[in-house]
Amino acid sequence: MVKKALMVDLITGLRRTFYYFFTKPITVQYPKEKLQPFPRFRGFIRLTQKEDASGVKCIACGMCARECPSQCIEVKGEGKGKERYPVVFNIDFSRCIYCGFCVEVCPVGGLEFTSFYEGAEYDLEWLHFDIAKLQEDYKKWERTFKK
Amino acid sequence: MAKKIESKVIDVLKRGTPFGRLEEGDVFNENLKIEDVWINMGPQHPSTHGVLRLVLALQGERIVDMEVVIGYLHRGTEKLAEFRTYHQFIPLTDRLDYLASPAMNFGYVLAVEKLAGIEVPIRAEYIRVLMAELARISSHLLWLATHALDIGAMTVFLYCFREREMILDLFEMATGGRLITTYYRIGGVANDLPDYFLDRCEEFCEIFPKRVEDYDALLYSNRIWLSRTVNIAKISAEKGLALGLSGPSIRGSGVNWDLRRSNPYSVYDKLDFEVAVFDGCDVYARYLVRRKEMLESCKIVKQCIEWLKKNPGGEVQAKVPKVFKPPVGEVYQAVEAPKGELGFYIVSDGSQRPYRLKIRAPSFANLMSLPEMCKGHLVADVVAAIGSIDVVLGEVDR
Ligand code: SF4
Ligand code: SF4
Repeated sequence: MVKKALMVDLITGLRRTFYYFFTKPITVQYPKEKLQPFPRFRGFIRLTQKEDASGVKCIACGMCARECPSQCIEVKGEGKGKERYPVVFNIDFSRCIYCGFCVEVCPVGGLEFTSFYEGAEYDLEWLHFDIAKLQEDYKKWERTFKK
Repeated sequence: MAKKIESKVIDVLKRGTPFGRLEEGDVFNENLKIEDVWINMGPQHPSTHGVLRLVLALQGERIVDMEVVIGYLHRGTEKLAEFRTYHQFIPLTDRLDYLASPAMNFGYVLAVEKLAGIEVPIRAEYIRVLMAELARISSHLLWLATHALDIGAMTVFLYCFREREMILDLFEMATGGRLITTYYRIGGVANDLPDYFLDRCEEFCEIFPKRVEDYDALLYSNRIWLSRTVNIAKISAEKGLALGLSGPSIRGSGVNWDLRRSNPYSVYDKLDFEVAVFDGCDVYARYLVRRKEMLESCKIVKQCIEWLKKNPGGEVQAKVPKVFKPPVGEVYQAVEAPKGELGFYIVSDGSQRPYRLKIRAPSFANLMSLPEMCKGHLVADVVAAIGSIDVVLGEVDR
């Protein structure tokens, strides 16, 4: 009864709230500051370049296109054996679910994840990446208001 | 019930209302029936946004009947499974209960492994259990956050999300995804944990029990919380079992049924933990069960970390052929997901794709006991009841 009158139960809660009222906020003000994702983060996918920068590593084997659960990769290649290279390589990022299977199955490490994730777009066409766009530096599209 | 209210209404009319009074000599039709008022609750309502519709039959503010209308989030997952290879279906299981995706993967890969008779490396087993338990904590945290928010305790929401963020960071470290992890593979897990993961995870296990005290300070004996939860939405053990209630919801009715103990899979039989059982049968008991389960899961995580630190290195994936074709047959495998018993029933015709795949989703079965729980309660308690069975419509509609 006394406990009830003194509202002990409510005051314990309020004390906790009061304590956190004076601690530093843990939130991040998104467009102004940004958290860096961890290395394994599955963002947009890029075609990796050969070490000597003479083109992409991909050998157009088509494994990624076959394994992709949402069937959003299209690959067409030219050439034979080791010399094979892709002429068409499209990834439709409006359908990609970032499962990472394509990166996982690729026998030559031809695809990699970037930490770019701001794919909310007004223009659907923008999300259809072709072979040239898949080799660009995605960093330039990152959004931040701090210039 | 209807009779009682009728006489009450006549009493009120005799006493007088703003519209007039029943006078002596007024002709009053004694056969007048007081009808139930049917109202829609949802699809837009506070506890499940846009995906669950309840039709309530009301007598005044009391609920006499309820109908659950589902299907707003139907994506045809079971049918899709017939057009995907066994491997390609894994990302779709993530999207069943999107709040605990490792637990969903777990059920599916176990079923496929049982079908094909694949031995999983022991290290992968421990990693799987570790992930599944983290998922349980994160799912329960989100449940506590939103449940408390629905009932009117805003602060808990913010605190729970703070800890959930830590778990999501752990997921991101190990798997690359925050919500949709897609980490489990047939025969193991995608890749080994990064080296800094275990330390960060241990840190979390240290902090977490202290943070539970934070939530306790706000809820455990809070008078408002108690009056909104104690003796609300009661369901007896027999009724619950008959309706297929499972998981924390049935353990809140005093039934000691946890698949991790009663039907152990993976390495759960080597781990030491207690099954949380409370017999209040009400919303508060279900809160106590989940609260204790979070702490128990934290213990399991600690044991897994200990084992993984003692036995570094080793395989995390069994050899599975690239073109995976399990033998002809059927299999059922159930696991204890955060929401209850999650089962996968797979029929295989020996091809690359399942012939038929049926998902026994815990939330779907749990939702069926909602009308039973709510009968006789006030409209405001429906929100508490929905919260207490922790439905995720992703797996209800599938
Ligand atoms: S991440 Fe998954 S969905 Fe996206 S392109 Fe690769 S395989 Fe397809
Ligand atoms: S799997 Fe690798 S090598 Fe083969 S087509 Fe895809 S990106 Fe190219």
